[in-house]
Amino acid sequence: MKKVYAFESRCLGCGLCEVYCRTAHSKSKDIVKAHKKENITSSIVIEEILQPKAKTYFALQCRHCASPKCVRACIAGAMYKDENGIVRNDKEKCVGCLSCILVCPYGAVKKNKDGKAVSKCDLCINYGSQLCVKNCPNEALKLLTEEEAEDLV
Amino acid sequence: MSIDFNTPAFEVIRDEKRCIQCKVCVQQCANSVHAYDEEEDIVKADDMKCVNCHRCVLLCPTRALKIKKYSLEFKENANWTSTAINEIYKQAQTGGVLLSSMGNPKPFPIYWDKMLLNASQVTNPSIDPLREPMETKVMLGRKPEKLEFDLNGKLITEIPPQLELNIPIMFSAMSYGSISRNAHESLARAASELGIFYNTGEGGLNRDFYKYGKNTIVQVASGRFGVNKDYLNAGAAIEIKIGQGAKPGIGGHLPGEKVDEDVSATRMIPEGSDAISPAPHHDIYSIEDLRQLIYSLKEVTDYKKPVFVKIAAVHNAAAIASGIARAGADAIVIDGFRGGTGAAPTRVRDNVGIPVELALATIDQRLREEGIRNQVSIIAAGSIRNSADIVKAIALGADAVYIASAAVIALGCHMCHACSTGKCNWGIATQEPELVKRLNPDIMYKRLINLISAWNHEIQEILGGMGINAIDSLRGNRLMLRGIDINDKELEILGIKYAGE
Amino acid sequence: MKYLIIGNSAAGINAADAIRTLDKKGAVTIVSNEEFPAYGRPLISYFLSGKVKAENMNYRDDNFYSSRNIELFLNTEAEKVDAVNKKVTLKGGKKLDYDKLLIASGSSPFVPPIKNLKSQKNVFTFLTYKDSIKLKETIKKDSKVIIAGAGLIGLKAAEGLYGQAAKITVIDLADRVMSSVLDKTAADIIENHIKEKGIEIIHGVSIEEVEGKEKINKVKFSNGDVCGCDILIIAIGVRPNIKLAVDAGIKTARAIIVDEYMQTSRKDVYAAGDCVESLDMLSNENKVLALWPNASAQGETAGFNMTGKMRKAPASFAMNAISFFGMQLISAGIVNGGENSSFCDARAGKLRRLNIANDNLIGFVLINDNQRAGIYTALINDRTKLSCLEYDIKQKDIGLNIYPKETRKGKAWGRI
Repeated sequence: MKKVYAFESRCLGCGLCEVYCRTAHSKSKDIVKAHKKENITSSIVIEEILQPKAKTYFALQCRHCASPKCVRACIAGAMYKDENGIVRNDKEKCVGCLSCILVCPYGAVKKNKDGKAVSKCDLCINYGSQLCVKNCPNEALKLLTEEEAEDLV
Repeated sequence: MSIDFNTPAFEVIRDEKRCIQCKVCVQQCANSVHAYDEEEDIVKADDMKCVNCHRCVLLCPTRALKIKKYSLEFKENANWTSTAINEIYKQAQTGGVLLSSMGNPKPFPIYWDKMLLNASQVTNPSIDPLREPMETKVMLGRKPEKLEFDLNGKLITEIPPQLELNIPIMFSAMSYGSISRNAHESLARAASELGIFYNTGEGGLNRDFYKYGKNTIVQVASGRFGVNKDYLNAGAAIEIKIGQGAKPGIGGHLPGEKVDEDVSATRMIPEGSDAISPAPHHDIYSIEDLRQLIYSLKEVTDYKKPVFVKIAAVHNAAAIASGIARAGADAIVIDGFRGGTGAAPTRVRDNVGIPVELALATIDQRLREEGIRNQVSIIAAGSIRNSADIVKAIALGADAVYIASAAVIALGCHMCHACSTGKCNWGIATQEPELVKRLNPDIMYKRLINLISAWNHEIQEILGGMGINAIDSLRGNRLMLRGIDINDKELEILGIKYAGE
Repeated sequence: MKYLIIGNSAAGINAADAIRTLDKKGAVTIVSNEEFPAYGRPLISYFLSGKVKAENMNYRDDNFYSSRNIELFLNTEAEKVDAVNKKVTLKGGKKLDYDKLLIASGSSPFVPPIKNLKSQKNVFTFLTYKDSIKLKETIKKDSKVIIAGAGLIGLKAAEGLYGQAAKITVIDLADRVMSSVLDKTAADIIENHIKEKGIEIIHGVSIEEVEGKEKINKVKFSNGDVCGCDILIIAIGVRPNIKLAVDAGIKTARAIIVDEYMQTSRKDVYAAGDCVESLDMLSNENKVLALWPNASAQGETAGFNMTGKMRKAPASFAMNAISFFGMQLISAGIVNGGENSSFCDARAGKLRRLNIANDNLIGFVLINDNQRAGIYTALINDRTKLSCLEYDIKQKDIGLNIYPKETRKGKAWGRI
């Protein structure tokens, strides 16, 4: 399956992926409204890497594991792997117990600001295209299969 | 602490209705213009630090930012302009030489815009380059006086080394140090793919880039930074830089902050040390001395590589060019006073040198008159802005042109003229890893290819319109040019007729 | 191939799911003594409080059984396992053949012998959906509730009832709440938070006897205090359901003993979930780790292996993610012991406690400071040497940037 791969050597840490992630997962799909009127948590974690001379960054999303620990840990049956292999979270069922956060070895699940549920990358399945990939100003995020990603290294 | 007379040059305008406090601008501005105020939950701007590079404007996802000229008016005065006054404030405060970047911004005449091109009508019909062959290939280098063949028709004249360009455009010298590694990589990859050349500038050549050597011109300047036998042999041609249009009479100056580990290794100088090139080459005080250097370089490269000599366009450029041709150079680069640079004293940039159009015309004319035009190719440089400029340059006598400002603009340069600070927000004129990263060669080399390919299409269209099917047929063909809005003296120097004549 | 699964919760469902992904044809049957399709067992407190509605209790979607062609017997007690003839006798005498059997019978509440407790109508346990429904039906605005046991179940019951009763009192013999999961510092933060809501917590006492005919009206504590009571919830602990296994001659200790492939001592009989003992990788002892993620993983492993695979169950250790009135608690591994470092901001109700031994992270407790807890869990799970990391985990927020470059890149790209 294709997922979003982050290329550390290209990531600027600008945070635009987070902005567009929140927008894609908003009701309004409008950047300004999504941020001013809706309280949405982005599913992307931007990490700073400590280096002697300069900061570098990478953006991390759900890895959509073949055998997802979060799905096994979920007490509510809210976390599931869909027919395309995408690990998704049903916000209606999620009770925000954070069992998924407890077991995700990548730290790729975030608690929602409202505390009611968690947020994670769903590859913008309901949006049509991956807004983070589309709007990365430096092509640091790419939607690839694992083989394609390895080829690019 | 006394009063600071400096005022902001630009004003950052933020539309609060659109700002979502995403802090992308805060994170992206290397000049720390933007800052987030947690208590107020707003992003603020310090106008004083803004250089108007547009990075924040373009990355702002809600288009909430605008940058405007700071509206602080002095009493209107055509003589004492605000620039003139502010420069005095600056110098009175610092006691320093004013430094600027990029090319001469003053409103001197741009002769490219005062020349018009011809097109065929009825007779000698125009050519459609999409349907018929159109040759834009040029060969740079010394051409033999005559060609001799043996009885079997085999060429026996030895042809001096030539550079073959698919398109008569090259990327001119920008050193590794003044521009970033990623910028260099983009130029090198684009040149390779296009079948043209890029120039290392005077900063040596990083070993990682030797693989692009077939499309590289290596420069030897007065500081001789990074020059060694491997370097000279790594490229396809060698360029001796005597002067550059942006700052004639002055050597290059790379501040120590830009000399990081990699730059230091490439330049063969200590990390963090200023790389200051002497104004002259200390071994060149005459044409004969220049000849010695040319032949030393030919010797070390086994006479296989053409040697260029680059000079700034100055008052007696034609005579100097004649000397350079006679000294054995394979090509002369003539760099006009609008040429860009990473850093130059403002007064030099704005007042020294002459327009390349005039220098080019006189050099071509002089070499023809002396019967030595075939001995050298002429490359015009110094603010070539578009394909029409190129066509006009070739009609004035150039074999090819060099572009640099246009190339860095394609790489994202927004002409903010702050290269010398080393904090280029576009990753071009900087060595800070965090900023260099912003220039992704995978994206940018394609933009360079796009630009040159687009220009090539346009050149072909214009040539076709003139009824010419090879760029060689345009070279020095001044009948294709007519002047407009210029005086008789200018027409005479350019060697062209007035429009309507 | 006939697969039979006794138990319809985390282990049983994940086993059935795993079997179906590998064997599309075999007959899969699940027997459950409960009356509902699989539900998220830990959700029963959310149901009690009204936060989760009945339609969201389902652990899997409505057509889980039909779409996977799984036969489901609800309200059906399995009474006997004949591991020799490969038959399971159901209550009422019906017998089911199997080729591979999974015992995922879970656990039952432990109710201690308390004087006069028998046949009282207002005594509850809190482990099943049914328990929760019954409680919800019984509770009244003026009810006085006593919960025996300040463990996870007791406190969740208290939270579930909050606002629906006149008074809630939780008692426990230990000196702190959730004594098996938390150290004193963390327990105090949680306890204060719960107390602030008006829930009474009394330590060091147990129930001596209850008073009342058919319905308890008073409870007498071990310290002699007597307290009025309308509802008594016993949440002292649970016991693995091992009777089936014992009767079938399967090796058991505190719970069913299985190997790392989830096989019991009898051929073709597997066991998973709260009814088995598994190896705690941190103490290297067999323990009953009655944890939802553990049960799911074991069930999945058992399912795979029942189809003929030989997959080992993942290493296990204690871990919990739970919240009380918005206060989020995450813990894993050994919470008491090791050289520990604590960052505690009591005012903000925050705690980060990391327990380290021999250059390994062996446990942690996080309260309201949990964004990327899974990375700590991974450090425990992988037995990562802390000295090989890029920075001191005690000093900074955790991230993948703690790993050296190559590991980090692998992690960021999903190669564990």
